[in-house]
Amino acid sequence: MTYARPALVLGIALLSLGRSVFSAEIPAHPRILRFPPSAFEVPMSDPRRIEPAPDTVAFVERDSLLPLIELTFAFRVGSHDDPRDRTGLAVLTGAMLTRGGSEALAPADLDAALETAGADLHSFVRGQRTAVRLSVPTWAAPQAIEILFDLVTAPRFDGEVLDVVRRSALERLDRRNEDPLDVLEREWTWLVLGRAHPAGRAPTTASLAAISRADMASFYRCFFRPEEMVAAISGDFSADLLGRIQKRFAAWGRLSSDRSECGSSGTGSTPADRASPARLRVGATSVAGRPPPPAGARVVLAPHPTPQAKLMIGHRLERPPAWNDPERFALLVAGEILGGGGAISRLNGRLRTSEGLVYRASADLELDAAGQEDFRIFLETRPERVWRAIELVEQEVARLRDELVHPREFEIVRQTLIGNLRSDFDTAEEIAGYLAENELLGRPPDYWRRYAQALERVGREEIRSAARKYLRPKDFIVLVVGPEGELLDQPEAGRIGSAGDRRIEILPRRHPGTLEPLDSKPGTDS
Amino acid sequence: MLPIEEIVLANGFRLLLVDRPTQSTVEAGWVIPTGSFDDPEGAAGMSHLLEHLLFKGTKTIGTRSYEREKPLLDEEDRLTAELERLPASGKRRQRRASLLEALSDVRRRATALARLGELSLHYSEAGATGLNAHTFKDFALHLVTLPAEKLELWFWLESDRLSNPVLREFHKEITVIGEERRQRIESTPGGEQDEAFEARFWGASNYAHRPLGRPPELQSISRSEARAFFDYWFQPDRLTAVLVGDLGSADVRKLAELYFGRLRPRNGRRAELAANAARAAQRRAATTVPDRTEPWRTNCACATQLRVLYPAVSFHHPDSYPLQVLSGVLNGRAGRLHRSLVVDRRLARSTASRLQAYRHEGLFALDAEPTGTHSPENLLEAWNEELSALHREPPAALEVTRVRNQLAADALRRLQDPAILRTQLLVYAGLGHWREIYAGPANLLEVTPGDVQRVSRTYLTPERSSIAFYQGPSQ
Repeated sequence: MTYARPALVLGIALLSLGRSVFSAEIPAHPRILRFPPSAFEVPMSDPRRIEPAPDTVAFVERDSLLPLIELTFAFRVGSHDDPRDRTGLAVLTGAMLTRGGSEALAPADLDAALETAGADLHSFVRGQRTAVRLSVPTWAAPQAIEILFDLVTAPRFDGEVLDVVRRSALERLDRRNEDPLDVLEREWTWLVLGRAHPAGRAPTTASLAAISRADMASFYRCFFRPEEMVAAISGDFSADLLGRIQKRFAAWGRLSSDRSECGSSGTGSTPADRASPARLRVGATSVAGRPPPPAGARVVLAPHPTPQAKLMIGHRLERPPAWNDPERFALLVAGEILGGGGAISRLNGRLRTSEGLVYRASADLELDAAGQEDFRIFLETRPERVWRAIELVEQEVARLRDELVHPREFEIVRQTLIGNLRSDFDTAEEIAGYLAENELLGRPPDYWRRYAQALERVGREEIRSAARKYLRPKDFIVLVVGPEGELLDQPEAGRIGSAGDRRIEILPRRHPGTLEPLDSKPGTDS
Repeated sequence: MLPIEEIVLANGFRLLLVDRPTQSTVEAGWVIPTGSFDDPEGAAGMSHLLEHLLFKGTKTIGTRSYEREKPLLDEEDRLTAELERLPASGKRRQRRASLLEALSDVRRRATALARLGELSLHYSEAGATGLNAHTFKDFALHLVTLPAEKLELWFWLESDRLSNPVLREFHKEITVIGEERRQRIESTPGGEQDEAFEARFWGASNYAHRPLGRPPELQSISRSEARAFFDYWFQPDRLTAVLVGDLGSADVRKLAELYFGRLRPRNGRRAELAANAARAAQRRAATTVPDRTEPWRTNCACATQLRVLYPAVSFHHPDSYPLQVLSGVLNGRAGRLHRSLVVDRRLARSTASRLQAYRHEGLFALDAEPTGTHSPENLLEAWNEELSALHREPPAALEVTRVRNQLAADALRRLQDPAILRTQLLVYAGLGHWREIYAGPANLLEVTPGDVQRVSRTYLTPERSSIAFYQGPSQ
């Protein structure tokens, strides 16, 4: 490792090259340090992608550092696929897959067997995805993997466990107005995407109560099949164990040709719909004839007694650029400069470092994933500073649209994004997982390998153009969850609220079970 | 066994290395075994405030000219001290106003000379990510992930801020911490009730307050007090750093000697830590000795719940291992609480028990939420029945095997992710025993059913319990 002293930089830098740091004193400034070039390369998809059975895709990454194995099944189904009168079905089904037993194993025996094996089995349900993940020590892996396949190929959906799971879900509904962040997320989704959008369809007491074991079994039969998922296998597995896994995949039944039950109860999609890339934009033009909420600037207040107001500012994100479109990378950089996790974040710099208004503030475009349909700025601050914070956010967005970013800012952000990429591929599970996600989302297999190069090609003008095209202040919705009296009492409230065509709209409080308005205050309800 | 290389420099600075050539990054961090337990009387929140201030730079980083900045920072301190001394009465109102104006002016001029966020910029420019820090009751961690080939940058920046920190932007950071407190405690359902119940449990112990501190005390801390705190505690032989990742290309020992070898013992004196005596006296007067016999009842905008706390043992105590196994016997979907209280009797929606072992003391906790038709009082009765069963009869060998296997597998999982491994080593070092990473799993495997019964009888008895009933809003 070498470095050059400041004086040497002027004329005799070459003399310092190759000089060992250890023979010298500490350089006066970190900028003088010189580093060897990076040898990092994103792992290739090809040797890791296997087809353990026809129509079944898995990504495998072996790592014998520790005697552990991870196996994840990611199914192309999630809460957006809930039938309209059965919202919550995907979440309950996901929970029951790992808790409700299999044909071979009763729930209590299942729990004891997994815990005795030191296994960790969980499911995660998102809008368009359900993942089931098993982590198990090598010594217990054959038995635990058999259990996992039993659960996903022949689930029992035990009635007693369903009662427990449903009861717990119902009681969580009762509490969903307590945390202001929950209220913020829900009302934001409704304001930006609308209640009829698949992401806006929240479970209610009635919809959860209506879900039967038969609904669950039917939902399972439609969506939980090997051709409907991608698997990621990582860790210290042997060739023999991989062979056993492949056999279980081969024996797993494929979708029946009789599709009549799928979508019959108002399911938002069928497997055929989900094969279409257009599905990721399903909310833009759907749903059941209800138009998306009106565009245009709005300031909306959801009353809540929290001592710290929670804010979301942004709008619907129409048609983000395609995976390999250079504009995508320009927008990625713009988002990171505005409010990413690195040092540059202008929102953090202005709102936290300069003005001490917030502990955290961020801008989110989620361009490396898919299915994001909004652009959102999130922050939290004390009620009396809310309007000042909004003003600063609007100024920063305007600056990004109006001015070219500084070259050093851009370079730092580029390095931050590449740094994130390197951390993301540091373990075997991450490698298998990210490659599997390419397959699942339709992201090109070489997306990550070309990532750094694509960022290199972005120009400052392109960053400004992307900001102008995709971040539209005239359409900003400002949602504030906080104490109504304190917020409206501030002199700036009137100014912010009356700018342009905006007025401050007050949302009604909602019944936690039905989410319908509790009172009939004048205001708005999207 | 996980190979960990330990290097101790001549000044006592310790470095733990885990070489993983398959990574392209290094997970780096250091820990100081000083946390909110060590906050001076009347200055609860000091260690966490210092954690924030250590991001503000040094004499080299974070400034356009330290020579020009220093007199302004000194003047700011002088004005602040004079304001503190000024009586609040109306007679001196004019003097107060002029001091405030001067203070605002000097702060503005000092800020103009600062390069805010420069530490973070150096890291980001090098492709480092995850720069962060966390303060706990016994220690504070400072973390970052670097590209492996740029490890020397970490040595430079971290040894610099441990040698020459400048606690600039002091007053602003206190308002940022105010927002952090509003986020983590005040606007979190049940957050304030949890804080109050734990304070009641700990009574006069320094574990009574959370790292975020008490707002009035935090606001009264001065920069010179924070600096004295740093000088007293941040001695090189109290610091431990951990690196996990591709260390192959760097001679880490030589880098450590060059950079961290420059840290010298500091002249900090405990006497200088004494914060405002009046603040401390005020708080002592307000603190009542906890009465653990009477349940504490509180209303909250959160789930109705039962919380029970028992004084237990410190980290590394021989009984901490059977208490962890006891917690495992109770927890999990195959555990006694879930099977009995959630599934069979349908009294609880959720249950969880845990041992929270700090460096000097510890507690054992039960948290449970009743189902709609039951009360926390019903749950307490059921919990005591479960405990009585354990007092009467040791758990079955199979139950203990299940828990030991689970704990052994969890210990393995903590070694898997490099960032988690780095943090785990720092936590153990912060608690005074980094070798717990080896000893912990081995000790857990030796726990017998009889040990579990013994600790349940010793520690989890009704007369040792502190009980809280939280009543949420009726739906």
